[in-house]
Amino acid sequence: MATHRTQRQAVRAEGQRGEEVQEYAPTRRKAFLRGALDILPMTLGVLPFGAVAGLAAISSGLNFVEAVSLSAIVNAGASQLAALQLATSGAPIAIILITTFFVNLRFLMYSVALTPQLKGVPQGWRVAMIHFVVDQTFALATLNYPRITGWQRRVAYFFGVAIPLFTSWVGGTIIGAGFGTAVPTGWSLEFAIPLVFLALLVPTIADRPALIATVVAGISAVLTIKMPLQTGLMASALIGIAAGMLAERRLWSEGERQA
Amino acid sequence: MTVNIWLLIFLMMLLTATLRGSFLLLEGRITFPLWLRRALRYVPYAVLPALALPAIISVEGSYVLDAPKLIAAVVGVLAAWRTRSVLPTLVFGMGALWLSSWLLSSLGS
Repeated sequence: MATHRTQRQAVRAEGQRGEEVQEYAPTRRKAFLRGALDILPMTLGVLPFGAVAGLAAISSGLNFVEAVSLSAIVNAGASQLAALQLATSGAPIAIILITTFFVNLRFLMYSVALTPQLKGVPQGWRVAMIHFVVDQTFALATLNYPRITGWQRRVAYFFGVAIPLFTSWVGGTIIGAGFGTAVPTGWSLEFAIPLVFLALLVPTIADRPALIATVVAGISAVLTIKMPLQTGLMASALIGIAAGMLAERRLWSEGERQA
Repeated sequence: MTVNIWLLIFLMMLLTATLRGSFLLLEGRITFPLWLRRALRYVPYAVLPALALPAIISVEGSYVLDAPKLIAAVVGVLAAWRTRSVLPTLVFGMGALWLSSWLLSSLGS
């Protein structure tokens, strides 16, 4: 009872949004369930993505255990698809790792953004959370942490999102890897890979610098296809980033001129 | 495939965990300059099209303008833009690929 009262007092201290905070995730258990409820519609979209990852792994020559392990241990779909694409085209491991670094650099961004919202979380819990810092957990956490108080409830919410998400990701991979050998090559299912990249990319383009970075990197990647060992990919990524930053700076100075 | 898959899985995990964990574990002990943080924002916009486009218009490093693939890519972009989700993008994109290659092959014969 006593802890409950301090919790309510803490919530009231939050000010006008107090009631909303209390309704959203008043206990650890409710925070966990709330997270699970929030991720549920997205798990449906993760299943086919996992299935594509499983299929791609099998058609790249991995066996069932290797295919499922790749999803469970790396837990970063876009980089897995990129790695398989590169590995089958004969790229050396260094090139695959550099690509992994670039494709997964966004996790560093998420880590930077999540850190101030996880003040007080003990190191052990942080270590446990690391593996599950992905697009969806990051998006839901940053969206809803303002109305969840206390590190215990924030951690509970995080795992409420992460556990169903991870389960459906690995489950999707198991389905895809299981069917892998039964799918005829005539279906050209390998085309699902660039489609997944487009599905991840297109909805996030929110402003002009982002669009410019996308278009410039895309054109550059097409022009540099023949460069050896996929170095065109790296060059295009850097050119795209530079283009986005230049566009952002230009937009800013134009805004200042008008103001 | 010439690489050792278990070595690759291990190294990818290590690298990705470092990217995910660095800040969470070293809270306050490392800071990034502002320009680098701004650059990080454009990483997905630059990397994803660089991965997707060559897979759409080339086969083993040579340009191949394959009409069904181009049609499917355009349909995929539209589906991704309108629905903002992976599943319908896959359904419409693959559907467009199969339908257009079937139509083109039956027209050609």
